[in-house]
Amino acid sequence: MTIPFLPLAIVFIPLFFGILIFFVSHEQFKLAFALSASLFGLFLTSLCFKYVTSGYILTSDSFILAPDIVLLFRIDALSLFFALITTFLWVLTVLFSVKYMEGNLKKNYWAFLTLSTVSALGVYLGGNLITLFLFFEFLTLFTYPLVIYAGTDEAQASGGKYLLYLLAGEVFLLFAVVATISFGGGSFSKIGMLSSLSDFRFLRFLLLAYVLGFGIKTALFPLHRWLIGATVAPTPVTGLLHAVAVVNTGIYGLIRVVYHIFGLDLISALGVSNLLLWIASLTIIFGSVAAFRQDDLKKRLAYSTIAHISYTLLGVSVLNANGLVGGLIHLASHALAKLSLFFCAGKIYKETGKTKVSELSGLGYQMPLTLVFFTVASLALIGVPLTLGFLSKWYLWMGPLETQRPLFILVLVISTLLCAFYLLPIVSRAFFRSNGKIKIKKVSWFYLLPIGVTSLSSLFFGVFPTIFLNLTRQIVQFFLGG
Amino acid sequence: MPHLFVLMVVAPFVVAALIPLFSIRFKNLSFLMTALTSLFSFCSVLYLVVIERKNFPLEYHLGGWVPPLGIGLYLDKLGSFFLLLVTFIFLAVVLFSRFFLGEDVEASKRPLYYTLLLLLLAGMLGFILAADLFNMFVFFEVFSISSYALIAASGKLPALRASFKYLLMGTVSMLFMLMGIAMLYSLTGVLHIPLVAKELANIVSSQTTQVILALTLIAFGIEAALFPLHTWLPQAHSLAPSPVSALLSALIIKMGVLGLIKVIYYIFGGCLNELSPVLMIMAVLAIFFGAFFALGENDIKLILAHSSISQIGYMVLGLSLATYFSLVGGLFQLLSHALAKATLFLCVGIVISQTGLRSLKDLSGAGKESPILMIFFGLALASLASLPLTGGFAAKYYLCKGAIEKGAWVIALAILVGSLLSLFYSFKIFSSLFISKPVKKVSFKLSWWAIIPLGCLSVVSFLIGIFPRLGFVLIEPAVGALLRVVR
Repeated sequence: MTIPFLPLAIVFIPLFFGILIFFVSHEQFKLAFALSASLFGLFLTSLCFKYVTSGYILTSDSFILAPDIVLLFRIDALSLFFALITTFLWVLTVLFSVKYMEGNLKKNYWAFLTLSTVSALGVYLGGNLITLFLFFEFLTLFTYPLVIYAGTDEAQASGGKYLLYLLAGEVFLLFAVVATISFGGGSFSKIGMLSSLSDFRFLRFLLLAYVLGFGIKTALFPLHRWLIGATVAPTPVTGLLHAVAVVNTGIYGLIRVVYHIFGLDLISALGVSNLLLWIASLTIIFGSVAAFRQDDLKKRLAYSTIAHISYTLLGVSVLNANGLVGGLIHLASHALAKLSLFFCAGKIYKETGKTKVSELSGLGYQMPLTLVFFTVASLALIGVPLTLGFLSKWYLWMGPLETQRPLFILVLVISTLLCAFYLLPIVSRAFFRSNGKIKIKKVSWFYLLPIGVTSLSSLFFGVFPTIFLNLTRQIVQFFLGG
Repeated sequence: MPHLFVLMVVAPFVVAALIPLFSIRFKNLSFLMTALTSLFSFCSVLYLVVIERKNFPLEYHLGGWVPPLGIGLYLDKLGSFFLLLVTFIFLAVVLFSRFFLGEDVEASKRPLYYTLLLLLLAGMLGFILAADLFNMFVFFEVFSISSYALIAASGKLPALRASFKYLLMGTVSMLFMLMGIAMLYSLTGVLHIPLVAKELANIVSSQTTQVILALTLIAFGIEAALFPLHTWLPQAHSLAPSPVSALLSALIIKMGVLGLIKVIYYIFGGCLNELSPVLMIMAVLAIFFGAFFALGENDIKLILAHSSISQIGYMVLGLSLATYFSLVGGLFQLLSHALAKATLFLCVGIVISQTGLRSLKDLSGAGKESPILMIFFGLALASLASLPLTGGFAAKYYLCKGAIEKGAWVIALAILVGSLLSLFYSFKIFSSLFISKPVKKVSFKLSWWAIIPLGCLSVVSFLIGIFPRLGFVLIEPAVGALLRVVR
């Protein structure tokens, strides 16, 4: 079924608002446009839900800019899954920014925030490789001004590192994209674009280029330094990088590569599944250990992202249905929980100026609600029953079990333990170690609403996961045919 | 209008001769005459391209004498692509000169400056249109000599030195070319290019033909500043008055590339034999060394000059890979680089003349107060850095595709890594001018004489980036013309 309107609208209506922000000078208008961009994004994306879950793929008309350079947008279940997460969290990020950026708002904050997220939507909705690539690169470029937002030397240095890593990755990605288009056409309309090729050496090289291209954006070890450096950005931006837009596009790309561009048969034939699993495991263990050793709260969360995003890669590369479902749901649960944690960290920093874990003693008595939400989000990330994290880990464990690879379950167990070790001490320190001051501050709704919604939705979706399960069923059906 | 052809080449020569005469009485007439002449060339090229495009390739025999005896002019779709590019950018630069010439060229020297500009134009048009080897050589000399003089137009000692260095290299290049042409003439007995090609096709490739090829490639390689023959370029481009730098970088070195095209395709029919990998390696080295030089520099004009070396590498790479897509990419690169570099040198001219500063450190944050300049700079640098949806991106895309289709993966990767490097030096310029903390605030004054030409260049460059199809309308027939002469 072709509804050319919807995929275009999801990208271009928010894009229109984003560009409009550059041309208005009044602060209130800028905010209004940014908010309406995100609301439109969320609204239009949810409109697609009904069509997609009943098995349709919505495809737009294509804009032929030149031979090969064709813009095309399409929504299938995988696109929608990612787009829903992004747009939902986008609205909350905008709300959180209102209070957080108060008094520190520079000219183009809203514009770049909007454009970055729109680029991420463009990546998800890209109906061929070139569209995906173009928006992937735009995402890097539009987030750069946000990373160097503080304007300090440290921010500039981190920004330089950010650009260097991501753009270097995109060089490999472009190579792989051009090669794929030359040999297999770039459109996502068929699964297994490269299946006509039989030169396995070249295919492995191509896969390596793809993994480098997308993997740098998911901060695979040892190419993760940019993500840690980028914690100098304001907290909503960090949230954008870790949960809303940036790393998600990387993992989205990897899923497309494995299941769509190469296709299940070709990937199994290449015999690279174990290699991918090892890369993912290494990153998981490294990220968890590094998070455990980190005292800076934001950096601890950043290392935790590195680990958790690779859970998804692990789930994807066991190459069975449970693994894929687990990986996808874990991505959603991680995004919700991690955004909530970052919001809490941001609120703590804004109201007390504290950035280190060791300084947080007794904070639970000053801002009880925040810390309660922090606890809920931590539990969700660890994967305690009744949270979405539990569901995702359940499927993630099933994946390697089915294929008789118990070693990787051990990786998951160790990292879950580590996750508990690096998150729960924060909670216990805040609640059980008093620093004598008990003074409950008045809370702003602009803070509490996004934090509450993100962390409670981990609980809500943990109990009612139907939305996610419906979509993942479609995705599995599409890629694995069963 | 069959005589339009000749008129196009002759008119700038005649006006160039008239300007010194008129300027004795009417000081300000020289600009007007130059502008009108270049407008005339632009319009006649437009006429040829739009109205006569069905009759391509056009041939004109001077005085009705048919080659091999007579002299001919020849225009195919590749030529019309170059004509359009040359006349458009030339017109923009001439208009800009009106605004700019302030300190670089004294008032008393301006008529001379405009005379030389017109000779430059005449030489380029003649070089593009010439159908026989000797005329090609003569016109080549005409624009080379006027460019030596233009570089020295400011009369300052470093500029004179740079100009002299270019003169020396240029003379060597001229000698190589003359030698090559002489050998070709003795081998084939004709000078008319299509006839030479026909004769050559019957001759088995021998050491003589290889030597001829090498000689002419070196000759045009020097003019195109192909690494390692580039040594004259950085000084010459950075010390010339900025409009001249724009012309040198956007057009003159492209004439070197056109020379390479003429030699490789029109004369030797695309058969490079053993020299093909040599040219390819030189091109890849050019891409990397140019970019590294540019990254190491701090002088804003030197960065741009070195970047030209790197960007020329892509065009030559496209020629030497010789597939359909690589040729498209090479010509796309030529087009987008010409537009971007012209814009950049003109903008840099404004920055340097109004602040008196050239080093990026001193210029830190200087552009923060003028959004128009930022847009011009931003668009041109984005194209240079081959960001998505710019002309540079399309160029690199097709080059890469050409390389991959030929199985040259390493070269494809080199192209992309090179574009990453070009992104870094472009970003260096942009961030220090528009992002860094200002050392001192400058508000640039721009008149319409500056905004209109810069605006035209930027708009065209922007449109080609957004809709690469627009570039294709010109480039695809040009590549078709090239592939037709391949044997």
